[in-house]
Amino acid sequence: MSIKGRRGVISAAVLALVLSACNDILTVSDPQRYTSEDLDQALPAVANGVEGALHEVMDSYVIYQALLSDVYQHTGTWIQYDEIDHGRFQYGTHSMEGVHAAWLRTRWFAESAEERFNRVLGEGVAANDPLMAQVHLAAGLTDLYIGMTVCESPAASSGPAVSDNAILTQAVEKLTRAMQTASAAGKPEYVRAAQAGRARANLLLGNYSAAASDAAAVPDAFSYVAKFNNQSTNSIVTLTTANRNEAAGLREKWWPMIDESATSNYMRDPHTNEPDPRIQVWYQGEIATDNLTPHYSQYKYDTEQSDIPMVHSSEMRLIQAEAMAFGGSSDYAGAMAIINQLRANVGLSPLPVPTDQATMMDYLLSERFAETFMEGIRMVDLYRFNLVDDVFGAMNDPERPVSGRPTKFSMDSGEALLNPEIQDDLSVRCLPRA
Amino acid sequence: MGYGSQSQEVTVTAGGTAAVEFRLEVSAIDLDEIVVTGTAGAVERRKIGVALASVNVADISETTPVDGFSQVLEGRIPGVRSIGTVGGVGASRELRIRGTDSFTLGQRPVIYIDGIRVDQYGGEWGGIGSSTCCAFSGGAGEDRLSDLNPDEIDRIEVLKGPAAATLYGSEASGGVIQIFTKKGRNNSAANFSLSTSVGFNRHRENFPTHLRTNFVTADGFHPLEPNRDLIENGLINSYDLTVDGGGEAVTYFVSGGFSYEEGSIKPNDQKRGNLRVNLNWAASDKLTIGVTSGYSRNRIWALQSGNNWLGIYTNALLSNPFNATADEPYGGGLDVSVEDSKAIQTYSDTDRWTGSVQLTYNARPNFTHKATMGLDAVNDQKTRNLPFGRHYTYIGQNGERNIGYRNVRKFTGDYLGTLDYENFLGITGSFAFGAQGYWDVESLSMATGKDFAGTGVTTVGGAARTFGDERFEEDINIGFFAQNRFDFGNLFVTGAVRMDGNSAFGTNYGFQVYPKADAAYNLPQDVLPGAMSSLKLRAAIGMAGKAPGAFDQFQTYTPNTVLDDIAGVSPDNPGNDKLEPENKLEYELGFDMGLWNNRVGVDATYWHAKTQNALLEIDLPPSEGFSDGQLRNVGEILNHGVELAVNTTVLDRSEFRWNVGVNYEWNKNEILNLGESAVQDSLPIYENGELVRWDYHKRIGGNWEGLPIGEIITRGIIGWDAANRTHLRSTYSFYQGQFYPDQMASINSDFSIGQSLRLAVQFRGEWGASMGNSDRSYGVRQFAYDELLKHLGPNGESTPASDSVRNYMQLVTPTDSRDNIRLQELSLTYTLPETLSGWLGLQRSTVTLAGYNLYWWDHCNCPDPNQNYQGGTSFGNSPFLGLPQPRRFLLSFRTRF
Repeated sequence: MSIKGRRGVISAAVLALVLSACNDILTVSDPQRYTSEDLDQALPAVANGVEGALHEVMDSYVIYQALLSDVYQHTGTWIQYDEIDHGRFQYGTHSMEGVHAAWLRTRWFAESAEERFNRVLGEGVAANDPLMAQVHLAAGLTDLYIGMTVCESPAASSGPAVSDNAILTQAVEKLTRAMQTASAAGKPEYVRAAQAGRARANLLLGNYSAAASDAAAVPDAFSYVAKFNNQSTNSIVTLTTANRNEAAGLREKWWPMIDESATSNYMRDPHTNEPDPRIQVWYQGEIATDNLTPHYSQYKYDTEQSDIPMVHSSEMRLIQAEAMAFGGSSDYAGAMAIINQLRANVGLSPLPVPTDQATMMDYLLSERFAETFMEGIRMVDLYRFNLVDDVFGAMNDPERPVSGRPTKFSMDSGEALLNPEIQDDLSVRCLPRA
Repeated sequence: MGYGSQSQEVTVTAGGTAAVEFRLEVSAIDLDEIVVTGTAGAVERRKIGVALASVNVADISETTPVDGFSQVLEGRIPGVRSIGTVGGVGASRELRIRGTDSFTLGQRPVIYIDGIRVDQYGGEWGGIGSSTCCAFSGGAGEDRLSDLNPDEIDRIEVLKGPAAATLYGSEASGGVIQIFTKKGRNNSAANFSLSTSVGFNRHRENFPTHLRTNFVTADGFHPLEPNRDLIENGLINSYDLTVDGGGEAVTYFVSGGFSYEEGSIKPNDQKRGNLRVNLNWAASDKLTIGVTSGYSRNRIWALQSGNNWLGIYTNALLSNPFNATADEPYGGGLDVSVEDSKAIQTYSDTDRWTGSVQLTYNARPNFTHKATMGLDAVNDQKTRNLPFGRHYTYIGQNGERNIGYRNVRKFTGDYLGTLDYENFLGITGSFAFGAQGYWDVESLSMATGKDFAGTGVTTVGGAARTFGDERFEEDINIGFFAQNRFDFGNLFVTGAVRMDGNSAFGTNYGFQVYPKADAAYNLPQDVLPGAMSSLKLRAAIGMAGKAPGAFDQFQTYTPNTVLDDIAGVSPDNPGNDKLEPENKLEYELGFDMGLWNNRVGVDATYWHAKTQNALLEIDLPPSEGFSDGQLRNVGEILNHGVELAVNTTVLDRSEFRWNVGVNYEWNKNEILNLGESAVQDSLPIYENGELVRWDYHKRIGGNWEGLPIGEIITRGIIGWDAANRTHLRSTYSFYQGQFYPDQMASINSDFSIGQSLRLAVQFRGEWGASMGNSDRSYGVRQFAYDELLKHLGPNGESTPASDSVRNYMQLVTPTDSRDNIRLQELSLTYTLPETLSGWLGLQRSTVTLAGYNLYWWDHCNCPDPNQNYQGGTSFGNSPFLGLPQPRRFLLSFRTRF
């Protein structure tokens, strides 16, 4: 090689080295995710993301609540389902932890969205913006469901654990704020959803008059649902329903009440034995995934996109009825008028006005069971009326002993482990038991 | 074992000739062997201070039919773990060197073919929206290393860690494997080689379901039994034809191969075709141009197995025999019949080209430039078809179609300058310098169609609901290095440094510097004790890295579909703009010793490696929003161990030769530090069912300081409550074992009788690993395994013993040992007499009868202690119905002409 040729090689090598030292060569970007800056230009997606995050865990919530209550039993292969069904879990070992963690993240995202809206839109505009109303509603409902489900939780990011009642009280405050924002933003459906949520929160706090007042403001036929779609599917269907993965089914105690005639597939009303169309079920003699148990399936949700009601008017009517019956006035006739109207709406015979509290409670509970079937409410009722002993005692199942059975879930142990304000210690974390 | 180099002085007159006779001397150690990996430029083994292992594949395949790249490494190099973990043909395998050195990054070593980095992915495709698809075949995925044709490979060099692999920079901390393909020889006539094999795969009949044949259903139906009815012979057939040779200036190697292999549980097969052309042209006395070009087509019908509702083996084994019917003769499984599982079509179809151009310019006799450029291009198409009208649990009965494309481009550019000098300022040595860059791009796109109207249409667009998703990654690295070796007679001292910049480093992080030094001292013959014929002492220290994931540094929000199919986002990665590579500093001390005229070779190494700045995912409290943890360089991981290889010729008579090689490895893994974010926690110690004390450790997630990475911490059974007829489960989770074995050993024995018969045997063993044997729990809970069936009454009725077993398996996942000893290879090779092969017009010709994975001894309560459903890249806790490796039987014919 000539000297000129050698210089060429050396020049090329030096050039390559200089070019390779240039920083831009080492710069890449991720085309599949948004940065925080990107989201300032995508505020609706932020608000939708907050509300969607609340919705997308409702299916898991309903399944776990059903397994802890007397609605569902495990009929599959998952030990996590089995543990809840048999009441064997303890703090740190149950799957509702994931749902609680998701709600805590949703709450953070809602707060971060609020800061973003205030920064991008200005506080004055943001306070009256439908997006802010959407986020406030989701934040309030998130606290409501946390208070319904776990016995304690941080009330704020990395805050100390407070009681379920403290969380419900916070839910009332946040839902009140949501009603104000939604009203200012001209979003009446958000106002109703927030008020319906507040009615339930007040009910669980024992504030019957406030609950009844809020419930009365929610008109008939109103419903706010957790929406499922083609991407975020309803796992109650995919994991526990006939012809899918039959990992959980109705408890054995309900089997005799299921009308297996070809025409209805409804559970029968416990008082009149009439098929109740609010409790849609399915049984075709199938053995469930556990290779052993007949699978009696829910069929209220029949597609992967079936929405799950979160708050709705019929529950509001029952809150009004409960307030009449047990809010101090013992107005059983008024309560039964509401209940019988709900029954008439679905073609069921009316029930007589009871003369004793126990019967009134029985009627109320069975109506609540029917109207909120597979909505995650049954366990809330068993807990607040302290009925776990009675209900599981009546089942007399040696594999599901009453004594020591949890009556509510403990908080997410991941939060306790990582939150410096909370002690990750089984001996100090709450887990109410029968 | 090989032959040692020898020298004799001879005087040759001008124009005359001289004949010199040598007798080949067997040598178990060859310090004159030239190696190129891990050092800048080719160098004799005696001059390097690191443990560098090499495997001569061409030699092995002379006596043992080798049908997969990873099989070559099984039990041959201490410190290298190459095992099959999932039994499906083409499925991913475990390949790891010197233990587990990272919490979050991959454990596979980086792999080069002829100097070009190649795709070595082994696993299911990740990072795709769950609505779009799935794990195609149950968690194992296919192994891109199965694209390689071992018949094209000449030798493999293995660098086990940073002390040796510093010059490979930011991806070499897990070791480097360099594959060299075959080349032709100058002035050689065309040399043809043909090899062909036929044989079969067949699972050992040790699935835990034998007792099903004892029972009859209430309807009088005799259930099928997987050992008897599911296991089949899977055909193996392969052909390879190569030709090599060369003239004065040009050499060539050309090969073509085809192999077909069926699994023992069907449908599952692999068709692979390989073509290769390697050319070398001495364009002048100074310039040499080398070109390598390898193409492969690899079509795998993947087996549905593992942690998978759709698995064939899964549904056959987890069937309750008492539910068996004519439609579901095994008993229904996980609500999917075996027949429906078998109807699923799952393909991976890969086209791959790997090629390079290498220019070597000898500017002066002592000054060489070498430039290498190359590309590995992989196009992988996967499809899965769940036919309409069959029942697939959560998917339903309307069918589903998944398609996916994975395109990988790995470009490597490398320059190396080598200057040898003698008596420069009184010093002799070699100086090398260079640069290396790579540019990786991986794009993945997938589509899914759900709900077909009927049979007849199986394209995604024909489904009622369709989904699509993409994933993209890009990674760019540029590194510079310089190395100098000083030769002080018998002492060789090398120092080197490499500096890397990488696109995955945080934007606020600059270049990373990796230093190294090693020394080799070859003791003079006259100071060695009588029996010792050679001894090299060596010591090395070096650092190498492992870069974070391509986009880990960015804080990101994931787009998702919410509410009524509208756009939303959710926070996922909190990001970290200060991300650094993981740095692993390793030192090793060892010796290569020859005894009794090198009839015995001993290679011993102690190594000690500390991963600093280990990337840990620091979870945030859920109340802080992000679903992913934040990656931070905070961890410290210690790995250290001892490796020993002893090779010897036990017998060397004219008619008998017996070579034995023993490899042994001990290693220990310990998490030293989890950083300031770790929280204090405690682990209970139970004795005789009583909690006797607590051990305190810091921990983050599932990692605990003072324990190994990959530990089993779970609740266990600590007693029996007779009154309530239930086992007592510990209140707290406690330590029950580790995933990875801490001792591995192998024995390779090679016995020759005359020139015609050769018997090769390999045993290998592993000790110290455990598994969470969830298969047992599932099998019992599903009324499927012998462990329960043996306690049932004659008509399947429960007994106190069966209730007790069920109760146990409802409460815990039992921990079982993975300890095992395995008869891995047994082969008998017969070399045809020269008269016969000559009469046929052939040169050396051999016939080999071989068996692999023939038998294993264990006490794991499982079909195979190596089972691991996630396959090669994620060897861990759970076997999860990851189908054991089958036994393999092969008859091979190999000839030259």
